[in-house]
Amino acid sequence: MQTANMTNNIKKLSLITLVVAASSTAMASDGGFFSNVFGGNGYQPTGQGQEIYQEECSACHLAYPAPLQTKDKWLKIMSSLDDHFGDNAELAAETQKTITDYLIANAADTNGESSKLSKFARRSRDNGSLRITDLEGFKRKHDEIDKMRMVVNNPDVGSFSQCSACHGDNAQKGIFDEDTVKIPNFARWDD
Amino acid sequence: MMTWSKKLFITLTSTLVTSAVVATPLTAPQQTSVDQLLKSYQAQGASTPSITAGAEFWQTKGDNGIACTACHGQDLTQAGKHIKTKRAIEAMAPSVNPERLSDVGKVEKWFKRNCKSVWNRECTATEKANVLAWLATQ
Repeated sequence: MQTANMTNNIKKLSLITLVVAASSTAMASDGGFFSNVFGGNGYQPTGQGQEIYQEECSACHLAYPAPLQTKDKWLKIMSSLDDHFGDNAELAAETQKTITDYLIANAADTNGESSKLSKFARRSRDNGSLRITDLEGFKRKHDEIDKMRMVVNNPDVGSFSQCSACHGDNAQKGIFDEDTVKIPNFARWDD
Repeated sequence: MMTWSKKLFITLTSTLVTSAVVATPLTAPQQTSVDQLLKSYQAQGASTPSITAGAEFWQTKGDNGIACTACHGQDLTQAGKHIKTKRAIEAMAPSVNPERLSDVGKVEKWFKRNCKSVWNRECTATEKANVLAWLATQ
């Protein structure tokens, strides 16, 4: 009986801690309270396909969080996999459909809209490129990075598509906070 | 008449027996999928697989100016690196990577994609049989 009570108390305490932590995160960020608690840092993908998306696409690059691109761009990317930025990335028809549906459901202008990440795609002028690394927001966030020295010629990075090289495991969860960045072979990144 | 898959098996076995350096044999799942794939390439009209031709094909630059080695590297027991995205690619040699060649679907998927990336076309059944026979010995 006492153990049950104690467990309950611990549960209550954890809930309070969680709410307090969430509120402080929300206040420190630039979005609204709800969008930050539910979709601010990171994102909650909906629908089937997340696992398949991860497995298929992260063989070559980060499986970019779906809210980073708009629905129409995801459609264009997924319907031209035979020439995927110069590489062939064709998938079995069924797999392709599962992934396309997943990306569209969670795109910047669909369910992904509540994620902070979606603003990169929604607020970027269309410059004709389908690359996430060409989004104005992406470029702005990386404008202090010396591309050749820190990325291209860095043996542990190589390309902007290897988000995890500097953002760590957080990248796959859609968390790209500046204070968690560590560029391999360079001193701690501090603005 | 002996099918070429039997001939290949005999060749591989005798190579193993006579060779001073015995290659690590494939695991059961690897052997099963290699057998299944070779059989299917044979059914598609492939000629008897040649390990030497497979090794040579792996090193040959295709119509897109790169060879398989561009991403997989020269030492198949070591990780490679995607030529564009720079993503690490796990070692191809089945002797050090038990995942390799153990899934028929994956082998076919990557043959299709990578042949188009290197050769700008799908590989023929013979080319795939040769490469697979050679990879199986690595």
